[in-house]
Amino acid sequence: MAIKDIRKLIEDGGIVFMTYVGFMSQSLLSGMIEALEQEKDIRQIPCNMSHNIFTVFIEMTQNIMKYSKNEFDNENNFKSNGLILVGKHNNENIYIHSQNIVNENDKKRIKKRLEEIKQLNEEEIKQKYRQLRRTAINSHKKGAGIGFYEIAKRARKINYEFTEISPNKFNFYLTINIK
Amino acid sequence: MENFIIKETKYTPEVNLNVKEGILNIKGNSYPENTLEFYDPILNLLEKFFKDIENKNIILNIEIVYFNSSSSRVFFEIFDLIEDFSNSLNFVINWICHNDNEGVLEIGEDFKEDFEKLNFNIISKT
Repeated sequence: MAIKDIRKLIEDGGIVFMTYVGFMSQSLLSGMIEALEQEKDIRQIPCNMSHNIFTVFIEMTQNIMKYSKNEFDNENNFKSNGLILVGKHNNENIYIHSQNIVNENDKKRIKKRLEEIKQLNEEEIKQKYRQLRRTAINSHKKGAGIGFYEIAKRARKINYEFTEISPNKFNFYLTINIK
Repeated sequence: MENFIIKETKYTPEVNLNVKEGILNIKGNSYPENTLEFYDPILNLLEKFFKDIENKNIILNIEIVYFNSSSSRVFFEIFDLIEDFSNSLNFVINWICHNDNEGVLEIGEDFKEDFEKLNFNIISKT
């Protein structure tokens, strides 16, 4: 694919102000946050909306990092490989899209959590978030599932899809429309 | 007990404890990959500090810009620890945010509601 085609793809898909494909790391994340900061100023995005964008962006990127550390069949050297982009549907509506590979267990967990969230209204999401935070205390286990609630609090709409690559390997597509 | 300082990085806040003054400042971003690894030593240190302190008045200034959900859990844990000691010590918590940042303001208000017993101020900076 020629570089021109990539640009066209980006423009056709809404004004995407950042996209990254590949190995996700913590230092890359903070670099992307810095770039987003500049975009925010240039595009004069309102402060409360930009805070939502940043929070969801951090959460989604760290999810990619987290899930890619889990085991996959026949593949021990799996890297934090993923895709994340921020775009605009029209003038106002900002969305974040991520794509990464997850295993069967994570797929089940993610699906359960997202379906649970879809049943709740805004107020219920807030309450559940705070309840989870309260009960997570002292249970130092990794990820009490609060991350998706952190995202949901700031989402207008959540869309997701899994497609199978092989029996224990799925593509996970997540699109969050930011409030 | 000695003063304690961790320098700010792009994704971890400055943590600054002045033992004599009884002031703890947490300031910056907080989205490390291993949040608990970063905060566990700080939580342990705080517990020790609350046990040993001679000065009964403690001020916590917390000024966070961006943070991940696990940091939010840790802040809850810090406030919970403070609540445990709130009978013997006098705490003032200042949740500091820029006044145009409703996101951070709202998060502060939620914490304030969760910890009704604590002296929890939300301070808007211009």
